[in-house]
Amino acid sequence: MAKRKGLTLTDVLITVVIALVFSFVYSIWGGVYTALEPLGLHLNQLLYGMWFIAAVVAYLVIRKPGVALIAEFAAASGETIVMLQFDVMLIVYGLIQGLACEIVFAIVKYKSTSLMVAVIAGISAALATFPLDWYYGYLGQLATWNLLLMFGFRVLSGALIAGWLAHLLYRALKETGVLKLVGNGHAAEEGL
Amino acid sequence: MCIEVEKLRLKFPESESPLFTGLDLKIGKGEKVLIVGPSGSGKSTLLNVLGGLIPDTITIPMKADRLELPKSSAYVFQDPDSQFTMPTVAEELAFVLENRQVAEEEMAPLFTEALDMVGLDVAPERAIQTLSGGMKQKLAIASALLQQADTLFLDEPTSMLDGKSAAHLWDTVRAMWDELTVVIVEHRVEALWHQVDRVILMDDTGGIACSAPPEEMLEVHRRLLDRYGVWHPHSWEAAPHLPKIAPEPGTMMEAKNLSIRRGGRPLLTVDSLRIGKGEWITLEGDNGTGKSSLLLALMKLIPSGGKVLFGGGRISRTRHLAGRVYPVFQNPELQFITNRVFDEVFINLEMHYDDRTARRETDALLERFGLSHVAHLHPLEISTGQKRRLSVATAAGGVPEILIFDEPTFGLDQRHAFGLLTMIHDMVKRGTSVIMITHDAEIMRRYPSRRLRIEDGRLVERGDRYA
Amino acid sequence: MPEAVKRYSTFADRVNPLVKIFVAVGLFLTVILIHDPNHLFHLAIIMFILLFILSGVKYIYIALLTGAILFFGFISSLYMIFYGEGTTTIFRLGIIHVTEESAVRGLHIMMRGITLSFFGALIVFTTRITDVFYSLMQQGRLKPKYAYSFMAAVRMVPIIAGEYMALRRARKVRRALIHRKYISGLRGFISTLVTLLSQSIRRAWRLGVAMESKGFDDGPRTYYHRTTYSIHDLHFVLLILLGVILSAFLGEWFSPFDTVDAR
Repeated sequence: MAKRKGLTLTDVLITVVIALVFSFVYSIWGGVYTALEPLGLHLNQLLYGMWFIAAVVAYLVIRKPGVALIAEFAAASGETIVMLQFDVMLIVYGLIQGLACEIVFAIVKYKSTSLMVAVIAGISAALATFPLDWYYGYLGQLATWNLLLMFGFRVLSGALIAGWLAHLLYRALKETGVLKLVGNGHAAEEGL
Repeated sequence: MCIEVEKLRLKFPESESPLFTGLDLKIGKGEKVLIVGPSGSGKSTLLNVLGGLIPDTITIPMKADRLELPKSSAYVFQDPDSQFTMPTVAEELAFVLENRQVAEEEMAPLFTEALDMVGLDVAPERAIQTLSGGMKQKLAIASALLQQADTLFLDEPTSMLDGKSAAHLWDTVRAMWDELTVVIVEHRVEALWHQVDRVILMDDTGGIACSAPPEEMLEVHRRLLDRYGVWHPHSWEAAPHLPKIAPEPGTMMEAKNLSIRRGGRPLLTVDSLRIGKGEWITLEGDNGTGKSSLLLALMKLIPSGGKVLFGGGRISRTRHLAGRVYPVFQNPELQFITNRVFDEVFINLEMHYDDRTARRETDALLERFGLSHVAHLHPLEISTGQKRRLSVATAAGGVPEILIFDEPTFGLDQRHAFGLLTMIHDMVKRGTSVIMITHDAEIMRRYPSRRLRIEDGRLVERGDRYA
Repeated sequence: MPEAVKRYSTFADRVNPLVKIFVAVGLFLTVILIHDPNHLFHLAIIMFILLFILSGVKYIYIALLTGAILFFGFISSLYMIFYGEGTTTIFRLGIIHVTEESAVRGLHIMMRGITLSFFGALIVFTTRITDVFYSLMQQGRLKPKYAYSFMAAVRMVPIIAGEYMALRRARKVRRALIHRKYISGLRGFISTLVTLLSQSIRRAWRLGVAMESKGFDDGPRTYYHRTTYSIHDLHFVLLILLGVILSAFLGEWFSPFDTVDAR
């Protein structure tokens, strides 16, 4: 039996549907996110981590290189598929956030499923697009307290939602037994 | 020989004991074989080995002393939603041809030919999601045809279809199977039994209990079939004899001038529907006539015109009758909330009893529904039959006054179907009213006190009225 | 895009999807580099005109969409209008401090958003989603397993949506029988998500098996929808380029804003 390396078709399909389910969540959260915006106090940033939770969950489930990136791309384009809205920015942001998670996962060699790794990935993704936001949204010209508020909320949200909540979902998902379907290609033949 | 397997051994990585420990099987070229067996006997797994999906696509460790498999095989699976890749009919058929590297300009004539052969008359650009269940399965067969395989594997292809569509599907399959070797795993076998060359009965220890031509199977081995709880054309002769129960006086629920619309068009109108205490009502009608919608409308889960009365009062919101009227939906998965089978029942009972009694009652209920051995598992982890029984158990826990079932016996083997019907009978005897959608003519004939049918967008009463 | 919303078809329907995506990325980078609100003002208008003419979509949809884009664009710029730095105060209320500079900067951010949204809408209205992935395979050399997984996702959307609706109905009914702690708040949110995820993962797994049983592998294949580059692609790129340049000139000629640098 040939052991299959890299991402199999099933791995990719599973990654994509995980992202798609989260696209639905985004589509619903998008409303809340927007409703919090007019205050301008960046309360919406507290929900920011929801935008890249898919990458962390997909990684925890499959643990192979590329999964986080594909999940983020799928989640961003899922928005297009679900809501029929094409937003380049979303795709560019998704790819950058996916890449940030990917780097964290590469450092742990795609092995660890610890809460710590999830939280660090969440924070990295939250920070990854900051430079781009800086240029796009003229953050340098924002009152300092307001900027710090935005920064703090975003990091907090990355850690809580994309890290802690993602890990909670992963553990709950594991209990359903469905993860037995994922990558059980290493099983031994002895005893048969 | 088309298929030859000697001493097949196979073990799921997560299970303790192997599923197959030396299974032998031969299937001749052009033979049509039906495989039946109790749930958990490994019928689908065997099918996946025979078609070469295990161990390459599905990585489950297996070994065999000799393994001769068909050169090319095609599958039709149970669930239409998880066997199509593409959004439209043409794209889905093209998917198979692209895999075979057929040139783009040759594709369109091949679609037409395949759709003609299965008698599916739809525009190629039609979205698959708009097709009915029967049409989807025909599309799956058309796509299998395009694979030009010499062996066709069918894994419970009619389990999501009503009786008429199922019979129609088997006609379609029979019309095209002359040249092919065909291996079928199926629960619902009435229309199929006498068409195949051989029936193979699997036992519950991963072996083959018996293999014989269909007539011989029924004449000589019928007791074996019943012992393993497998459906066969005479199953109902062994069905439980449940005397019809006379309804008690009194009206539980009433619907007046109900009108339901779908997609902006009227779907169904109900002038008057009265559900009496202790009635067992069956609801029949073709796919897509609005049976499920009617049940949802009674629960106020979808909008409808007219009024629904319960316990004398008019109902405008679901929560006014939730708990007292309890539906068991077709997808029991979506009804589960906790992560233990035990908790799923317990959370209903803890509202009525103190903790110790609630636990004891939960154990008793699980025992009664044959779920004790899976009490510690996640509700999403257990088998389809167990899930359906669990969803009924959650209903029984709350002791509702009306139980609503959407095809409760669907996908169950004989043993579990009969068990469930007996349980429903028990509940009716204790005064619960039951209304159930079913496609099974035997159930309609044997058990209900009243039969309703949806015809041409109206709800009509059918004979056999008890009272 | 469903045919029902279309009135007519234009050359934009025939532009290669990959080219559209590259132009979109290019436009995104361009918009980030434009600091002159007058320039951006005209670019946003030009994008609206392109959407109006080239999408071929019924007016009512364009009107609704434009309303939504303007509204969402405006509220996403409020943080800057309210809290941006500036010296010429227009309005002050508690922590809110609107200045001329922050208002212009806020509007500038809004115009960035709507420029991209108009262009994005044009792409959505003129592109079939499956063509994007067919094109990514043929012109972008993307491996089929990725492309088909994404196309399968298109089919999964209504299935997941239907499942979510059914789940909500099921919970509405159970709610009455159990303690509310089980289905409200975080616990309810997680169990909802876990159910949907686990159903979808199972379905994806089965689909993977079905696809491979239909002879799918990651090797060479033919394509039912053939996508190529064509002269339309060049026209499209030139048109957008022209729009960007023209808007710069128009910005000099008619300047609704006093400043030429929103920073």
